[in-house]
Amino acid sequence: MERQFVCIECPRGCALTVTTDGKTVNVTGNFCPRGKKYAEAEVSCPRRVVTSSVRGMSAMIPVKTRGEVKKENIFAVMKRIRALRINRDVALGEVLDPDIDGEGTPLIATAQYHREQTDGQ
Amino acid sequence: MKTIDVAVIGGGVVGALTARELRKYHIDVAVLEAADDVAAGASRANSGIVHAGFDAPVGSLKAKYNVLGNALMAGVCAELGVPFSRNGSLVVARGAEEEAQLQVLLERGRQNGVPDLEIIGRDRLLELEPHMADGVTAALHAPTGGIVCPYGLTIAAMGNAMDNGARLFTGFEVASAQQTKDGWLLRSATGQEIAARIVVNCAGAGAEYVASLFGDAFFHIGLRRGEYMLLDRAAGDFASHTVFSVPTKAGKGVLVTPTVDGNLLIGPTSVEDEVYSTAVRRPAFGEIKEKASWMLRDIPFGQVITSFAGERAYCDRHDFILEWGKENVFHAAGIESPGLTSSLAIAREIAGQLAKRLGAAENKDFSPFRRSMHWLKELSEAEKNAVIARDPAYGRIVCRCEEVSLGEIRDAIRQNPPARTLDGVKLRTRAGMGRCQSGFCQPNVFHELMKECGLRAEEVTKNGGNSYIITGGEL
Amino acid sequence: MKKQLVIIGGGPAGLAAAVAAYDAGVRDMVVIEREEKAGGILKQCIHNGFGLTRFKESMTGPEYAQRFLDEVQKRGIEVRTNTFVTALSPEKQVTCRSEEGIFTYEADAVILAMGCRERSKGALNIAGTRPAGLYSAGTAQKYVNIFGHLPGKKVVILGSGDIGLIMARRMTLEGAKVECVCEIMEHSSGLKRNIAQCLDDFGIPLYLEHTIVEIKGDERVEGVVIAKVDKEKKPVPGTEREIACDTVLFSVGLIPENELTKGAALPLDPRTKGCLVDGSRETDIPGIFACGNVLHVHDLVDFVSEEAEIAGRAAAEYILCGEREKQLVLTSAGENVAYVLPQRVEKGRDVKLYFRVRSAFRGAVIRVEAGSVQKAYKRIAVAPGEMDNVTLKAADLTDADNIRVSVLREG
Repeated sequence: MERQFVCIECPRGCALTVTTDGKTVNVTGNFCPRGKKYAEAEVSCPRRVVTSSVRGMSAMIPVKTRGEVKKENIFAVMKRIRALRINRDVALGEVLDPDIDGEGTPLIATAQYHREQTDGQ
Repeated sequence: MKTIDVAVIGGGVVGALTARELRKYHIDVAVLEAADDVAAGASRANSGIVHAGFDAPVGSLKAKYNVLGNALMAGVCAELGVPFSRNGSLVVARGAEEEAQLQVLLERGRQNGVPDLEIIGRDRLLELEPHMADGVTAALHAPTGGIVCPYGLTIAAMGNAMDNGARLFTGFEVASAQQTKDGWLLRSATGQEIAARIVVNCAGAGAEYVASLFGDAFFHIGLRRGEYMLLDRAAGDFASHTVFSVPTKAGKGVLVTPTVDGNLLIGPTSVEDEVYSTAVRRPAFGEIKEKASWMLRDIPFGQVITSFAGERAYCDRHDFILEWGKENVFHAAGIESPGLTSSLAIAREIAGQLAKRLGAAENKDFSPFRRSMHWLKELSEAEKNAVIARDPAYGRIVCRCEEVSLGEIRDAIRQNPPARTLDGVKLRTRAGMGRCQSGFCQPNVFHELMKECGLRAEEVTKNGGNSYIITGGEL
Repeated sequence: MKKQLVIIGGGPAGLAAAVAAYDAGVRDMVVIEREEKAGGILKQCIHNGFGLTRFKESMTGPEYAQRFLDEVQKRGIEVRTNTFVTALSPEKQVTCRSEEGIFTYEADAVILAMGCRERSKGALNIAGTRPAGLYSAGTAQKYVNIFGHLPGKKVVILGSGDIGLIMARRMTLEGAKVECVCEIMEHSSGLKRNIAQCLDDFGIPLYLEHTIVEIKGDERVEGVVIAKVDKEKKPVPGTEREIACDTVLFSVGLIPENELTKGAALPLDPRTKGCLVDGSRETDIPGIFACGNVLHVHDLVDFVSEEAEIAGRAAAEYILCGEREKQLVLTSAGENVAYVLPQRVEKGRDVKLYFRVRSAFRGAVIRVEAGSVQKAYKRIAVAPGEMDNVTLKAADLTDADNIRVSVLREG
């Protein structure tokens, strides 16, 4: 079977073609090894980094999953992110939930946050 | 319930100025406005022209109040701190047939009492407006023509009336009127009640309906929509006069005018409506462009920042209705163009008649002055620094395109008539009216409204009613 | 107040320029930032994909900004926040307004780093009403990511620029239904990977050569009428259809914010809408430099940082070594090229030429003609949404009186 993907690993956006015959997976169109890896994952188990924001006391805190979660789990992850409330100071990179997808992927803050800070505008 | 002297129905320019004129007497007045802010109808979306007075038929009320109102406009704008400019009007003609029309307008203007009218040839015209289109041969020049900010005048008049004791009820849509022994009991759609000895109907597009609540049915209101294109301030000096064209067989033209805020305004079209609408039709853009090009060439339409439409009420008599109906009900209806120009003269006429009927004495405490909406911009740097030292919020810029400070936004929310919506803040401060059209400042104004008015995010509106900004909830 | 270097704007361009100028020896400098915190638009760009070129890792906007904020802080560079520049004179006086009042810096050198703004819906001449529920994509992004308010639940997006694509995904993740993205051009102006990961991942349709012709609804938007457009971008009669929605986002282009620049009487390039600069990003006024999105709209912040460092170093050289005599050569956009930046190049120096193509195609050859020197570079594919670049050595420019960049189809 042959499938086409646009690689999302970098802005180049390579047009990837994956051919599978049950046993072997063959990738063409990739500029770099990351593209091959991405295409292989897309035909077996597609994964994505999820970014969002979590409500702090007085402002929103931007967050991301450290590593990718299964694409099929994205909305479950979002549901858990929405339920989070943070009322303490947070450092950039601090883990806000050690396992956001039920498979051990942590959710981390992507900016520092002080309880008292306003929305920063 | 206490019966007040006068209830003015409608917070447009005529209603607001009428309330203000009434406060020059010892007359207790309340303005009832159906929308959530004043200047919600035609007073918000019109050409902002102070007409010289050559258009209206000789002997009409329009002619009378236009010429009177034109002479009064500079004074009231100075008192209220509203930008006004006597930039002069030009009616341009293309060829002999249209030039004959100019003669008709000139003669009519002279009979109406318009001063300083003259017909000028192309050479003189090009000195006044270098971008005249090739076919234009002559023009009627009316140096007393001017421009004013229509909603600015309405807001300032209402604010000044309130500062002098008038009251404003927004969201008060009069649903019924009941005659009582000493006047009328007015009930709103939401059940609020006001009792007044005299009622003035300044309801604009709703004037016929309001009249019917009192049992008056001697005039019919029609709706005519005018669509406009507004250009960036970078295009504001493209024309310095208000330029009209002679009405021709091809129809009524549009006008091209600078605004007092320095933009260039082009329009209006003219669309007869059955139902009230402020939508811009798809063909409007082409129509406006074509008609404007009859008069001026190379108009920089690439610099359009927005387009809008206003719905104007006109009367089947094609003149203003200024008369008593049922007992103690005065109708100021069908105030179509030149209604804005005429508004103060009309308001004075109404207040005079009501004061006489009420036997009201002059109010010696009345102060006609209101701080200019642009007071901060008019100060020198040293004066601005003194203001900022007293209140640092005046140093904090929120709207970058129009350079509006947080202090000015708070003033708009705190002062009479208080802004309760994003558009309310915009009309009072110009925050969001610039080239980015509120892209940057809207969320910040939004939060200032929440803070100042104690609103939740989902309660803030663009311009009242159900015009909610946030309808998807909180994250 | 005297200042050797005033940097207008504390976004990615201003911060990178400040660090580079400091490292090149300038100490007496200030970065002016109008918002409460520096970082610019990156603060609200919480999605990832930044920094791949520069840091070889995928970062979110706030993380990318923090790298530079940390560098600025480490060096003790003054960042004056909540301060708005109201005027710039050709004599390099920078007038500011803040809660402390109105004050003016007399600068030896100025770096313009004001960024860009979104083109507004008003400029598009769309018929219909003006209800609540119409936002530029960036405004919606601020409501969602900074304030945590979701503007609406049923969304149509006009314009497939990157912000529009990112917001399609963001609104979807937060529970909104994005009905479609309409793009008037025959190709998206966004990155291909954003179409894949923001639209395709969530089954959001992209209608190319479609636009919104009318907006419906009196108080809050109730729907839009979309239509196919012809080659002249005019709606094709009979192709209209109405889509119900409560929110419309506009992602219809970015415009460099050059109001201050115009005040300083600096000429602008009609194509980039930014200043005319040389390889060191110096403008027509010696000592005034420009970089980042105020100079030309970039698609990757990595290139903004790179450009800002060029400007920062050049400003330092100007301040510390004085004005330099430059022998300049003009660049020009050849076949299929929308613009080339810088617009002029100094002889005797290496230069990286940035350019955008006019249309997308596969199999391209970039041809650079500089006097007797002719160079060609191959590309698998080119697209207007992706800024490209080539580097020329000083030796390539010796007999050039013009440098022309063209992009041709292979073969």
